[in-house]
Amino acid sequence: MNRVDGHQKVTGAATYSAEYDLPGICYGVLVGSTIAKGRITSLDTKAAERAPGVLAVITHLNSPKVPGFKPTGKDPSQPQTVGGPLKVFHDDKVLFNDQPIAIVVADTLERAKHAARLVKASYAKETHQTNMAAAAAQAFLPTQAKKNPKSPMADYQRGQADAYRTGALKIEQEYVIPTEMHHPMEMQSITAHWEAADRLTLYDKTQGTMGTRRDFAKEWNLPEESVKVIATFVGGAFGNALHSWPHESAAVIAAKVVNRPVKLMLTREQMFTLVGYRPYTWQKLGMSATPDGKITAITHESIGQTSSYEEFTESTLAQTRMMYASPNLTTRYRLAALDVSSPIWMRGPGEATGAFALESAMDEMAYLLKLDPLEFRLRNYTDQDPEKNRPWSTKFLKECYQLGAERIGWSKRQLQPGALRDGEWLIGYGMGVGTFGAHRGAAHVSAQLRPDGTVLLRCATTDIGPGTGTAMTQIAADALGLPPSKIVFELGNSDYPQAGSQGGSSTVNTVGQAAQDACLALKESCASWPPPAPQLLARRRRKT
Amino acid sequence: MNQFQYVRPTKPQAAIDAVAKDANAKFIAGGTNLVDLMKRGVMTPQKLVDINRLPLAKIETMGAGLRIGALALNSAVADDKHVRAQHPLLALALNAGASPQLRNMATVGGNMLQRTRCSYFYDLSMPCNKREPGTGCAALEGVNRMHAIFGASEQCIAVHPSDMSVALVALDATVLVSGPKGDRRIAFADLHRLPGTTPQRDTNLEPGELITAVDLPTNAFTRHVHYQKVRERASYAFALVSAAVALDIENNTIKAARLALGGVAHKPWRLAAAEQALIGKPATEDSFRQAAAVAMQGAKAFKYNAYKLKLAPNALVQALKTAAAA
Repeated sequence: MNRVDGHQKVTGAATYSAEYDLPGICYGVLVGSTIAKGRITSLDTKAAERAPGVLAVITHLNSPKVPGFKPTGKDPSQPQTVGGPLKVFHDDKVLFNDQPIAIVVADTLERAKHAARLVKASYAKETHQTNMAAAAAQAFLPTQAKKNPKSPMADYQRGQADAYRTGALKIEQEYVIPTEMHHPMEMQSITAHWEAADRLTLYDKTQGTMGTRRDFAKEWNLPEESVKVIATFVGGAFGNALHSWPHESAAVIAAKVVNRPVKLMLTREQMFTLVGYRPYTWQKLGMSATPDGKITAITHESIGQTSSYEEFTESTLAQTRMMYASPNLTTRYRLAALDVSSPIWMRGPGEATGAFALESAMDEMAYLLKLDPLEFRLRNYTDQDPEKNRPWSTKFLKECYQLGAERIGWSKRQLQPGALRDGEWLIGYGMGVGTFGAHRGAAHVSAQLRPDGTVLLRCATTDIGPGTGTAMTQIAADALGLPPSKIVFELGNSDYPQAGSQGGSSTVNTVGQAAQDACLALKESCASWPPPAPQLLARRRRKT
Repeated sequence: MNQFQYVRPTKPQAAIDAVAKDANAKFIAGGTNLVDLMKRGVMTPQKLVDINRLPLAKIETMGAGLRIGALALNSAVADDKHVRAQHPLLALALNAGASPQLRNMATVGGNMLQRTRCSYFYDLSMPCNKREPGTGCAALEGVNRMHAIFGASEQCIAVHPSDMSVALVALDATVLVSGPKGDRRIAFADLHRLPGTTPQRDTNLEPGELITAVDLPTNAFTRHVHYQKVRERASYAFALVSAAVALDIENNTIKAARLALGGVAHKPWRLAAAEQALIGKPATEDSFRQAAAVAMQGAKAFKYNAYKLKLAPNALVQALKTAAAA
């Protein structure tokens, strides 16, 4: 079947967060700091305030108090803090380049942009650290691991620590992944509307309507039901809309000040500085093996980059602990804090980062052993999770190896690199293994049989592009024995039955089950199924 | 954006007068660069003189050459039958630039007058002698991986971004100019300037001077030509380095050569000495390598662009090999 929202998307009928036109809407433009660390010593906003169409220029000097911005009790310039999201316009501190130091609100976007350029700031600069190599020297154990030795971020060891060092056949390699940006086609945007002094509606680009609702209810000390988040269409996100970002806080503050709905869309440039990225990550892998290709030890160390004000961690090392049957295994995860904005998960988050290092090291080791890389992996294959000593629920990796090898003609591969040529091109065959958890959570879906014979399902989940609405329609159609055309699945609204964020490849797993259960419950509650003809049903409804 | 006046004259003289009399006035044609610069506040003209109504878009054969009107669109020039037959190098360079949408807007005159894409020139919070003379050059000690390896000064290390201009300088083009003091012709190699102590001046045009056309002399470079553009993605990116080459080969001996590099200097960088080094040589990789070594004499890298010292000669050799094989 076609995507249920395909027609809307390709004809422009789909409404994204920056496309809501509310009565009295006005436009916010952020002014960013031009230093990476220090304090704002003065702000000249007079010219901006006098510019045509300007409704407000908000800075830390005049921003309303945001109840959720309580002091953490720690100095955020110190890297060891657990921290939290940036407190926008909260004080004179600058923690990263392009940090919002003001928002200009005007009646048109052009006027807001123009006035934003008229805001002038002076700073007392402090020495910033944006060099990962230097920061890595002060890398630290994540706070969650310090507090809880069982945390997946804590150091792990089975057998002897760093046993690879004494191996006769060993490799030791460093791997670096530089910062990578998500840059979905749709830039981050929000329209914030205080419908009453204590009722906030957000048309927001987010991967989780519930998460965003929770964040802003907390920020403004409101009951969650007083905040409504709408994200009917999301134009790609890849992880960067799993977090609430400074521009969202700024728009909500601005809407409060001008008492009108405020629309704020980031520029493509601001997408580099305000809404997360895959952190720069340094990894080191040591491995030893017997001459016949059995791994005897692995040590995998990683230093992930984070910001000075918020600890971001990801599971870079988890798969190394379970992927191969190595009797001695050590992992160490550390963070290094830079004076930059916070990173966030990026599609195939820590798992992809870690797999790059582990699988590259596997190839290095196979090369040292003069073993086929696939054969080397097979010799270290494990039928149970060596970390938890439990059998896998399912594992078809051997079958996957076999199929893959057949499909790409792996048998033609030469062990010696650069041995195969096609004209001026060198031909290489490579392989790698990636893993990702089969995550699953709780979700609610409502199902309603309507007088016209269609079934309306609703859920607060979002669809950032994978086709959630289409998948749910298919699941419901199957469960109800109805054609997909009879199913309407509405999503992206925090007022709908609850569901988690669209992240971690968990949505179809989670929401799909709830959709199926809701459909089966609906079916059971009806006297007969499929439901009688629409007219008849409608008449029955009227009678009751 | 700042407020500005907008006029649309229909006669060249009226356009020239409008700009010559007003230091804050600028010509606008396709606007593919100027409008961006205005949106960002990098350029703040008080008056725009739209020249799109001037009759300057023709491409015509003129005696022993081809005359391309300044308002001819990049896409129209790249697709023109005379250009494709007589100056295929120009068509290749044009099609390597920007995107189809931009080539459908951008004009020949505007293309050669586009400003550098140095990120510090675009960033109003950074010093830039080109944008604000006397403030300094942030690129000198900054992230200068896109920057010049030839002809830079302490004041500016920006590069000229045009692909088309690299072909035009190789093909010995001449720029026709009308100005308050009358008409004149400028050899293409003399149109752009090196930064020296006045990086705010990209070209040798005088205030109010309007480019009306480009003349291309007939030459023998109709077959062995290539434009090798090295960039970080397959399309719609400025060159890290580009090489425009044209060879006249007879019995595998090079009779004449035209070589130029893009993305390496404040102006399209003609390689006269390397051309000389190729004359009378066999069209082999060895000859090309030797010429590339000559081409690179005097190159100087900064902290982040040392890769260009390798990339430029390699691009040149690759371009020569491809051209010779054509």
